[in-house]
Amino acid sequence: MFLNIVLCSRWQYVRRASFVRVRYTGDVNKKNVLLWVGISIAVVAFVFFVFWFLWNGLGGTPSQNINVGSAQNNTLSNSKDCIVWQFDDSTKPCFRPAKPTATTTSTIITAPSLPALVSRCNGLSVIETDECISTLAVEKQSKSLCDVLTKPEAKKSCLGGIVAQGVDLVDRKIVDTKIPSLVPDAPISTGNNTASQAITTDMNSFMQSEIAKQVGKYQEAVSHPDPRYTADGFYNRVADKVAPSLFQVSPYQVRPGGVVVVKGMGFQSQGNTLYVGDTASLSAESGDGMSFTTTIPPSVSEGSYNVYVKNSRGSTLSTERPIHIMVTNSPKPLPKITSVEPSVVSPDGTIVVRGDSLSGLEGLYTSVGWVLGSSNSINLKSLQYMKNFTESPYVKSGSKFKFAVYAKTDAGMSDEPFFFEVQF
Amino acid sequence: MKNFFWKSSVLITSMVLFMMPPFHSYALVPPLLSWGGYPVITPIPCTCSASLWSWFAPLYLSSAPMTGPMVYVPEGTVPFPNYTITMPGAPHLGAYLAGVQACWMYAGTGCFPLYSVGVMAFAGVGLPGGK
Repeated sequence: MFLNIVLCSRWQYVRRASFVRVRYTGDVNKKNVLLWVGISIAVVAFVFFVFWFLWNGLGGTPSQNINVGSAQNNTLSNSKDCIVWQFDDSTKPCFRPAKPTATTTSTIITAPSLPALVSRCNGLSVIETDECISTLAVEKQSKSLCDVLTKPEAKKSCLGGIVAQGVDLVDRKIVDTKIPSLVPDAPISTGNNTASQAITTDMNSFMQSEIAKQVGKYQEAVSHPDPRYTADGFYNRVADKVAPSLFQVSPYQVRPGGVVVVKGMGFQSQGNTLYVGDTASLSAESGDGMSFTTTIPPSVSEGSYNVYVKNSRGSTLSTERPIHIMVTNSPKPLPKITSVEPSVVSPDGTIVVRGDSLSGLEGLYTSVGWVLGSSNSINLKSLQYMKNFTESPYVKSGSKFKFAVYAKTDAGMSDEPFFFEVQF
Repeated sequence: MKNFFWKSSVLITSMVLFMMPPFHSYALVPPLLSWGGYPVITPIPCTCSASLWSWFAPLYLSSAPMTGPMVYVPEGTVPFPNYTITMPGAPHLGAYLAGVQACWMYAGTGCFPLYSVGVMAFAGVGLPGGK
């Protein structure tokens, strides 16, 4: 009955013994049938396309490119599972491919060690063992597994299978489905670019030879032709369109003639001058519009100075938010935080900061506010922005956020942040 | 029936045309990296740098979710629809520059960086509560 209702009235279902079948009793109209077949095919193709489209993202399958990162400084406990480290900086996360492909499957990432793999093929005949190892080698994209084979033909066949499918991932340094440049001097032209340095300097000869064998399979990443969507585009926007702002001159205590890093925004590619009091330093270039390096004029005598930057678009001289440096012949070392206790704290808890050169403490600056004074402890509840977290409906109870803390003494502010966790 | 035939033909043609969109894709070249996530707090204005600091949870820099702060610089970040960058609960997707500290707060004697994972180079925003 149900089928009778659902189906067109010209259709019937007939129950016979142990099965059900549907029978068409009306006139056959070939045009209609063809039309329905056409519509069905189009709908199926459309649904398939939508799924394919959602899976691959805008523009379809991204071109495959290879990225080589640096593993040496990655401090994650599961670092062996990381396949791309974008930066040498140890604070950067471990990157994995967002969408596994034939060359970036999780089986590759978590592949067991070579002996463990080989042991899977033990107990078989010689031919079966060779075949087993070859299959594993291709599956795991492991050239080292092919080396286990003794017969040259088997080894050649094994290597052929790997090269046909992708790049050997044995050293686990490779891969991403998007990004980078394959050779040094590739067109990544952004100033102090640690990422590109890591990629180019870590590219080993093995990778380069493998890539050379597979012309057309891996492509050099092409930056977006519209400069707005490149890193240079960002830096150009903050350098060329805004008046200069000065945030910090580091180190705070510096000798006459000493080198300082000036951080801010709106610095032009050329012609940025740091003024120490009324004395101008040498005009300096800025590669990223957000920093430049210059020298404190040797003629400046010891003392505390108001500093500002001038370029053709203006000056940062401000009476509301003055930036100071101390010129001295005996600069103190910058403070360095070495521990925060406890390492995990509740939002209304108190942390105690310990470290080197913390005498003369002037303030502690965290991700959620700051406390001025010589105390090395902070009640998190008193921090300016903690309410943004505790009163947010989106911060789930039990979630842990990692906040940064800097220390400032009369010698200046610590260079690197120290992290502690707050459990909400 | 003729009318139905024409309607069906138009439908099929529309579907086929939709399957051939004139999209172009370009690789994201470092130091630009892809990111996405949901802001969970009302953004904090950075007093020295005229930018906005917001905490994202989860924050996707890879397939593994994490949490962390990102900075929106109106002068530098290219916004895409719906343009409500840092709106709590709204999904964000875009490219960022890792490690660039672009939120500076003035505190007494100078500015200090409100630490962030990076600065947004461009970002698109969905509707609050959206996926």
